[in-house]
Amino acid sequence: MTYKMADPFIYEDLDIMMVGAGDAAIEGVLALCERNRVSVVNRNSEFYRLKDALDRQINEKIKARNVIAYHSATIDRFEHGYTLVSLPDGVVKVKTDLVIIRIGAALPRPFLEKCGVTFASKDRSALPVISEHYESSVPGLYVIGAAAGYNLIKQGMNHGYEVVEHILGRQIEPAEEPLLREKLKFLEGSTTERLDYIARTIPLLAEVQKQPLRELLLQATVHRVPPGHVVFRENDFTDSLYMILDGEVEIEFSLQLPGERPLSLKRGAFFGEMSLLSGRRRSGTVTTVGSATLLEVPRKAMLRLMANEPPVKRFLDETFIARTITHLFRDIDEDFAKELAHRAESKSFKKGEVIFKEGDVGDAFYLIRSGSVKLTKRGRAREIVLKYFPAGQYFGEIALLNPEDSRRTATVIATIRTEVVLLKKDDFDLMLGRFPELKRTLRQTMERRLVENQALQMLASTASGQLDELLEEGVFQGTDVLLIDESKCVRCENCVNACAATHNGQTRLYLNEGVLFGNLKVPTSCRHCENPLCLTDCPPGDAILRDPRGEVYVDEAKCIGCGNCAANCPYGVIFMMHQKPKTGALGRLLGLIGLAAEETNPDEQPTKAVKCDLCRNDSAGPACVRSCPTGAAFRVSPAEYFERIKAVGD
Amino acid sequence: MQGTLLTYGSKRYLWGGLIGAVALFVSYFYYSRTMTPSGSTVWGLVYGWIGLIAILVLMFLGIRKRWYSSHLGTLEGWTSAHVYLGLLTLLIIPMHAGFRFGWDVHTLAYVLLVVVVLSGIVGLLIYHTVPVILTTHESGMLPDKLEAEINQILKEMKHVAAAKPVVFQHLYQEEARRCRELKSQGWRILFTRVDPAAILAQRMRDLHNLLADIPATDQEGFSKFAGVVLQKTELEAYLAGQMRLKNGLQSWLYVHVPVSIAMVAAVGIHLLVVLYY
Repeated sequence: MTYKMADPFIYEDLDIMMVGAGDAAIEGVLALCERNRVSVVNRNSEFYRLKDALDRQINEKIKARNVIAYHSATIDRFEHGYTLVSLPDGVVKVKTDLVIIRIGAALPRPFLEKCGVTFASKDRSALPVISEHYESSVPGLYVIGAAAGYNLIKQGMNHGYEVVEHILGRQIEPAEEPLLREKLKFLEGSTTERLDYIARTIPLLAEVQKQPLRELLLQATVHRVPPGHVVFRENDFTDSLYMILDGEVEIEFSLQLPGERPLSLKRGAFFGEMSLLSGRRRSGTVTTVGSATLLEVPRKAMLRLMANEPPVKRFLDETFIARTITHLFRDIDEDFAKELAHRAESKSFKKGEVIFKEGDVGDAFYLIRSGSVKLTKRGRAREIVLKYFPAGQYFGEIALLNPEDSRRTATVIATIRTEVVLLKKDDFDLMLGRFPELKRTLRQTMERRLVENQALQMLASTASGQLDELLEEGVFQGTDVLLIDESKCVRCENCVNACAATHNGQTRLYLNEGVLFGNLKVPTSCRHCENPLCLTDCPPGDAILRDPRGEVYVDEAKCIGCGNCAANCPYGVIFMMHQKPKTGALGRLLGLIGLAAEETNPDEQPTKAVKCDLCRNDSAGPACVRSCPTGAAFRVSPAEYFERIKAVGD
Repeated sequence: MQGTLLTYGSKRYLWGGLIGAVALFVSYFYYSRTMTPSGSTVWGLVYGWIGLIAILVLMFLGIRKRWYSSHLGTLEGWTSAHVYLGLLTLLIIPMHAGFRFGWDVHTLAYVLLVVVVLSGIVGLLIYHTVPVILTTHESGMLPDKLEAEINQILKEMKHVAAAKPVVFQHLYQEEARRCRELKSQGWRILFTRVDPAAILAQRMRDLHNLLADIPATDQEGFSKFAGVVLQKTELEAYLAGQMRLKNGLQSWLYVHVPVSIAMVAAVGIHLLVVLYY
């Protein structure tokens, strides 16, 4: 029986019982189940607290009977060689050689609350409310380290020291004070005064607690820029949030109507939230009017703040919704948009979930906040996929605009986890009533869409069958996908060899595990998605990241080999590889004649995440495409694939 | 679809080849009017140089193919150029020789060149026709998955056979042997047509004959076992078919490359002979 499992690979051919159903326990189960017979005891009725990727993987394993899960189960007792598991309908005897206990350590919130400590919100991940000296709502009770949300050991130690000094009445500067002072040196007064000034100037930060505000500012970058400075351009891949401490900016959109003035934002406002929340590219170009002081907060820090400070989340959300409305429908004024935003409802859909069905009565108008959806219609024999809407787009207006028939003209399904904002019919009608111009614009779009849908439906048979399957494979999520025309591919595997040769012997392209549609193969290779799920859970924060040109790549120096990105990728294109020592030209030459240098056992090297990086360090572009003798391999962006599919289908 | 390799870059190499051929004809016409064509005239020498450079460029494809980090165009472009340049050499060399041939190393070099070009044309045809057939075969299952399935079935068979009469175990061993044989087929597979239906039918007959030796109690178990054997046979037939096609795709290279090396050797001797005698 053990609490520790340093290396799952030393266990082979054993009957193992895992007690616990959190992330650590399930990770252990997944690592062990290949070579052992593993059972899991879960005291809840299902796996509640798992990360999406783990949830998916464990359910697959259970379905394939590689793992047996006992839910609503507790351990009755252990006998020699057996575990007696207590289930709702009786006790089951399970052969067991080894028991691993990973029941985890959650913040003892009920206990703390009984002590009188107030938490930030009802959210499961909310933290205790603490002052800048780590004092909780109970005078004299201090909460530090992991319990306060700071998981690193060094932070706990620093906090402890500060608290003790504080209790002894000695003024102590927090460890990060010099950093903050340096960062905010353009402001006057003590650090506290400077922080107050910032909180006063920027309404978004007005209700943020002291400590989280400090945390945020530590991660922020201050930009003091001259007039006419371009903060970011439309279609850039950056995703941080900017706040204006001083000055003014103008936002321009390429799809601007003639005579329309650019949007202007002044001191106290923030911008960049569209990309922050939806993960999509910048929707406009931002330029400073006079000289300005801007505060740039990276995405992760902002998301963390939003998770812990509900007022911030609400403020951001409502501004995001209001701005999306004004962006899509130029005729609406900001105040009305804000009103609508206040009344709008947010809803979340899982991958594959139906948002509404063809024929349902239309009762709401939808804005896609993050994720993407597909539009399908009933064809002769099956559902035909017509279109794909990414974040920032709207749908559902046709049924609301047609006075004669308020039924949905198509089915809408979420293609990945999607968050939508919906306006009920009444609010929608109110909006149209106030802004007749808008009604006209919407009608025009609606007519265009109806015609488009008709045309697409006619094009339907072969092309769309592929469309749907390609959608499933994330070709639409990608910004750059490798496709192989199998009718031209001579199976020479030069593409794989080229990938390996240009990446220190480790290929990121696998042909044999790809998916085949008709004669188009989507091999195992990164799609460089618009909304990369692999970026969501990187502990260092930026070991896997997006290049301004759009390529998603791994920074080997920062990668700690945790495997989260590989697990989160729905297309299985990230691999954890043992690092091979780099060989220089001489080494390769010697290797050719069999005199390879003394190699340390590769299995002892740590693993790092490896995936296609679009050969970003090579000016000529992806090696796979350049090395295909027959031109079977080609990379497409979503804009081009329609053409390709139509051509291939002919 | 092969059109794309041959029509790379808006058919630039096709046009280049055509224009080159026309230029060659015109120049040769002029040349043959002026003097008696042979390898030893100035013109002959010029053609010779062109031919030599062409051959070197053609051979370079072998290097460019493996030079993965190269920025010299794309491999598809190089291959397209290779095809048309190769065809042109069929013209250049005879023009260099003034269309005089004999039983010597010089003609040998040319004959080898012709063999190389012909094998190249065969290769183009193979590249045009086989991939589509292979894709249809593979739409059942990709080779790696097929192999994994077959191995899985073998494992299960071993497990089941262990508890049954000897006949089962013999059958299992027979299947294991077939599996090994399939893997080591190599060249023979190219020339044996794979007819999955016939193979399956034969196997069914064999199994049926075995049925007689099974005691009544195990008959049902044997039927199930036989079902699995047939499954495996079918998968193996698929795999054999795929392997055959894949080998076919590479087969022509085993003529094209060695003969081209032999040709270069012959050209080398030709140059030595010509320059020293």
